[in-house]
Amino acid sequence: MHVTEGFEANTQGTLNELAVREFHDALSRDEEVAFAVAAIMALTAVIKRSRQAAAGVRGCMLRRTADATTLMGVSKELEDAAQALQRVNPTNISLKAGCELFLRYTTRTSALELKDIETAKARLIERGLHFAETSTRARQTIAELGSRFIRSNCTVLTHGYSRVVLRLLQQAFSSGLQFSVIVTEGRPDGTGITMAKKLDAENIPVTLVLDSCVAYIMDRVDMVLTGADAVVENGGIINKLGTYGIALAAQAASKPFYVAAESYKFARLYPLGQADLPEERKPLDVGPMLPPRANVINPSRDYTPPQCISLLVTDLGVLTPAAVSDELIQLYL
Amino acid sequence: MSEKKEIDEIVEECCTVFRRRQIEGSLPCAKKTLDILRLIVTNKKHSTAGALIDEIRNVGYRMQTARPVELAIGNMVRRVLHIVREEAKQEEMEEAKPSFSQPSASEGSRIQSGGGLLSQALKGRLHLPRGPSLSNLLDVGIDQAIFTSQLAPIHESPADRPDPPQPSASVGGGGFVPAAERADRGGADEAESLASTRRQQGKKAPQNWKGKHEVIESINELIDELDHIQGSITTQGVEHIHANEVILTMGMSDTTLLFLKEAAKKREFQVVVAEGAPRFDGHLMARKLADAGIQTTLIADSAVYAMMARANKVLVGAHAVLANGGVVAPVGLHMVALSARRHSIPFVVLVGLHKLSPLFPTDPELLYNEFKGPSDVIDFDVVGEAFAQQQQLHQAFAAAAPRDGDAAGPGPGSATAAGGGGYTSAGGFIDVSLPSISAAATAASGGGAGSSSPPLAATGPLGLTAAGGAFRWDPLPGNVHVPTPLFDYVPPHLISLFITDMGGRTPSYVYRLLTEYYARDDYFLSREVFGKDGAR
Repeated sequence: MHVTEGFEANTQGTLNELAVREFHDALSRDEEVAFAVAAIMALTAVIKRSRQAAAGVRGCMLRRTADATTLMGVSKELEDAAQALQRVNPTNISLKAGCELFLRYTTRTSALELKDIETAKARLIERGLHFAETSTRARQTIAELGSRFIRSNCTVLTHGYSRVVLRLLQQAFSSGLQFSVIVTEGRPDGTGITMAKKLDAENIPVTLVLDSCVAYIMDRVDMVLTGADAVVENGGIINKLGTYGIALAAQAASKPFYVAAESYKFARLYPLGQADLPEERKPLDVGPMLPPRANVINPSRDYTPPQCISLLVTDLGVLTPAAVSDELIQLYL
Repeated sequence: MSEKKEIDEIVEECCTVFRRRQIEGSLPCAKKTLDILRLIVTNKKHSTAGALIDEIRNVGYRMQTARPVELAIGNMVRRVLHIVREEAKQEEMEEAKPSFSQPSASEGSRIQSGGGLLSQALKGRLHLPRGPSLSNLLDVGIDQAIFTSQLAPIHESPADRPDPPQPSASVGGGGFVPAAERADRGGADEAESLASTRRQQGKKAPQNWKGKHEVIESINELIDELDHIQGSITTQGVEHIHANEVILTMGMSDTTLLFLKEAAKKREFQVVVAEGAPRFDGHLMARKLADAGIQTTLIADSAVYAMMARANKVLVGAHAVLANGGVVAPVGLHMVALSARRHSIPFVVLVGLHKLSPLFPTDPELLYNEFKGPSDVIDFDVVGEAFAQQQQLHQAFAAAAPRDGDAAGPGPGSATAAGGGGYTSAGGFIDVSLPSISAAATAASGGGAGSSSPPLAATGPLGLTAAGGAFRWDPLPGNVHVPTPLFDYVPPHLISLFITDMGGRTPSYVYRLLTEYYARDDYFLSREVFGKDGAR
């Protein structure tokens, strides 16, 4: 009995390791791959592996193994692996959201009706792959949907580096629209500079401004377009620090504030304010002249409430913030 | 084929009617559109749903472009397309059913009773028509793929069906009809004689898509719905108006009038009508309300803000509802909405759902405004006089300066316009030359002179793209620009409630209505199926 249990834990351990390895592999293979999508790929690998092991183990004539022979077992393995993945980067919300969605998708499939466990697993794998594929395609869908919001001769303000925003702007530019982009510097990690470089490489006219310049520049801007780390249940977003400020400035100036976000970033969180965000520790980057008794608060992201957001461009379509909760409720109810 | 030509002619005739504005108003236009579409579905043969969809899209696009500002035309086309797509999906599901492990659960009943895990898992597929959503993101495509490959090898040619990973195209190949089923339905289609005779003639090959009958029935239902649309809105009058309230409205709207009349049967209340310049149809509205025994006050538009403090509710009609929940409404209503917001007065819009458009105000495909002649704003006498004066100026100018191309430009242009009452209309904009008030002219031309974007662009985040053509601007000083737009765009945050034929809805709910009534592939009628050619 003891031996079996130990063995079980061991196998789960290897499964978790596999998940984490797959996750890192997926990320390093292609820098375009989002955290959530990498997690989805890793979890699909877990189901696959579990299946292979089942076949191999049967060959070895071992009676009882850790490999799931019931769907409950499969879900258990997946949950464990998802937790292991989240331990890799515990503060990443989109990773968490991606894992949750995957579990939800795989466990609520009609695979549950199939009697044969192998068929059911095959179906789960298929769904996993399909989910990964859908998620990979999401960015292009958003680019196509969102580029119609950009009009010619308009000025777009964006904050930090977002791959989906970049793709959207590329798409609009390649369809022949003339527009210019204002990018914030994105302190402290300077992601705005990355964005500016990439836009410049595409020959899109780009202007770089200080983060603190947002309100100053707002009256020259026609629309604000940002990405999101996560979209929360009430339709608000969690994004790089400074987004909230930009949204407030945009609201004050009556400029539309659009968000481009893939649907795998929809997270089951309901923050009521900035204090409700999952904590995140990161190295401090302040000047050397800091007085010894001064406190430093250095968050890396903030929460933008739904009333500041005009529309969310997602791969599910263009949604109002109110639509997000509708989508999440439909899935989880 | 002569018959085909005939239908083509009918469509063209209808387009001409739209173009000439012989049919006015969203409701008549919507009905006309449905009539034409029903004619096409009944009398033309299409072997698959895909072919039918293509045809409807083409015809629909033609009709919409004939009258781009009447969005109800496009909306009705999208509704019919949605009906066809649903029917095709239903058919596909029924074909997959025999091999399905739980036939009872998938019996096509849309109302799922159970709350168990199983039924929920099934729900995703049964509710596919909802369009892409988080809850069915994976069900689109893959289920069909699995059913065809593993469990239900009934489809002879998988190449016939669309690419499984392309969720939007999942209905394209719905036209496959098993011969046995087709024979079953032989007598059911007596109603459309043309179609059924053709079916009997060509028994070997599936000549006509069998779902047509249902589609025609649904279109008939839709027409029926349109007939009752005003009634379903106005009967809600009593629920929304309380005793002794003061209701503010602007201009004339049949729906609003009937709504108020209906409420007046049970309640006593006051109505303040803004006259709605430059149409002044508020006068008629006030008259009709007074005739109905409602205590009515008529005010000038400029008094709206002052009167707003006394109002309890603003009640207006609209021309179209856009995808973000904003509305296209008769000009002046943005101002009313703003003053209602300033006083925290609910701004309620009465609108039938045939006016629900899936386009966003930023969409380049959307042309939402129309410009009338300036005669409502400025008398032709004044214009004529001014025109005569300007002609003299022109002549003096031409005599003084050598006649080069620049100076010659306005000459002939103005001459042709003279017959039309002294104004030229270029691309929807009207220039009136009024040398006598040149002081005002410089003020007016400040914004609009050089650029092609009219001064109106300031009313919202929209490009008023009506100025497609050349924007004629006289080089001489003394021009007054007299644009008379018909519509305003009222952004969603100023709207408290829509009262539709299906009940009250908030602007933030509009996205949901869209997924209920239209397929995402049809949002752009001009474009190929979404995703296939995303580039503009």
